[in-house]
Amino acid sequence: MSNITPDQLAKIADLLDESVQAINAYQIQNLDSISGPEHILINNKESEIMAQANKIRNEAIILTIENSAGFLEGIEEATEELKSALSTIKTVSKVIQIAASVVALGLSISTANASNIQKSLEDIVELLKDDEEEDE
Amino acid sequence: MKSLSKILIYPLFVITITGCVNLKAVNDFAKSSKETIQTFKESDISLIDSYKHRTLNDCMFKGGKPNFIAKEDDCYDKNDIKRFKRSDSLITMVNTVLEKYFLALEELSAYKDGSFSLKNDNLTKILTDSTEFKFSEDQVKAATGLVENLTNSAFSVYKKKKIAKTVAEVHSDLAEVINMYKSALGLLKKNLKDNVQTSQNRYLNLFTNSRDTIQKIQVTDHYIKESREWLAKIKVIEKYIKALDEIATGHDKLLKNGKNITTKEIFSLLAGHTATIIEVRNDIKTLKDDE
Repeated sequence: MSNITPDQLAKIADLLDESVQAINAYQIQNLDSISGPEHILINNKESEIMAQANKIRNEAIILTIENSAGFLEGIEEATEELKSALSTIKTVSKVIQIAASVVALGLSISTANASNIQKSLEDIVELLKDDEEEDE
Repeated sequence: MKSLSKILIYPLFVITITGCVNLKAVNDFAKSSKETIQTFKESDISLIDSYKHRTLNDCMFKGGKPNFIAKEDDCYDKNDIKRFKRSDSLITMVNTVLEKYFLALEELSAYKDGSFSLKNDNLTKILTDSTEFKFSEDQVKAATGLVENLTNSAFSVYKKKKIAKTVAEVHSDLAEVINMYKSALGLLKKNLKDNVQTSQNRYLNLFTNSRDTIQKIQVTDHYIKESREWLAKIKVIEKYIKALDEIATGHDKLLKNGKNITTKEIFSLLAGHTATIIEVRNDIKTLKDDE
């Protein structure tokens, strides 16, 4: 099985299905000359052939996808790149927010405004806390 | 300060708006692609179900008459179960890989007005209240607005560059995977078509062996219902393959026009594919609801 390609497997399954179609056509052409029990027997055989075709096609699906592992990895890498870009944007936003808070703190200290100093410190602590939560 | 903000903010505003429209087209395309992939996932079409349904029915009506089945599992072959489950898990994996890619593309291309804003309104308050440095309200607004616009414009340019680069890098892999996925789905479709034929054979056998008209009607009703279910699933696969074609073509347009294109062009180029993908997704949903 290892040397056979998915296309070859699919072709074999199609041939089995075509044989079922041919048997079916024969049944219709000779409807009256085939007895009831014979029809039942033929129908069962047709279903058995199609069950085999299904199994072969299933193997073709498995091989097709397994052979594409490298391409799938390529998409996964691209997904990670996009996610990392988004994460960079979020980090930059956070840095700017922290920088703004530091500026506010500096101004508060220079103007000796106690309530503003406290508020600015709280903001910085809050932003750094968010950062820690994201890291977790 | 005012004139400086005018000089700086106006071109930045233009860049931001331009970036926004470009990314919106990409965002719509990525979002609709992701949702269509998710919709197919929810349609519960699987090779194992197809196998179990066919095998159980063959087992129950072997010889054209109902048979007593003590244990359902006795009808199945353990190795067959394993192989059909394997192919289902591989199909799910492909679907998930594609879904995650378009989700990441959707998230990165997402644009909301004022997506970045200085949350720290304390800064504004301190600038306004400062006794040492005198800033007017307009100057404070202009300063914070400038930071916000500058940041958003930088983000927009960064996002566009990153998207164009990633799309170019992944495109050939994506095209291969979509082609491979389409052929796997084509094989799945053929298996379901066989189920329609198998169910017809079973029906003919049961019909031939039916003792009276009531039984014949029951057998016929069951056959019609079963066939409809398989045909609906086949239709879902056909629609999904069409959507995958649109996704592949849309991504190709994104590749070819992602870097140097005017806003209008990229929008109109992708809009058609996005609309078809949404239409197909709605068709799949309707077909699923009709089952």
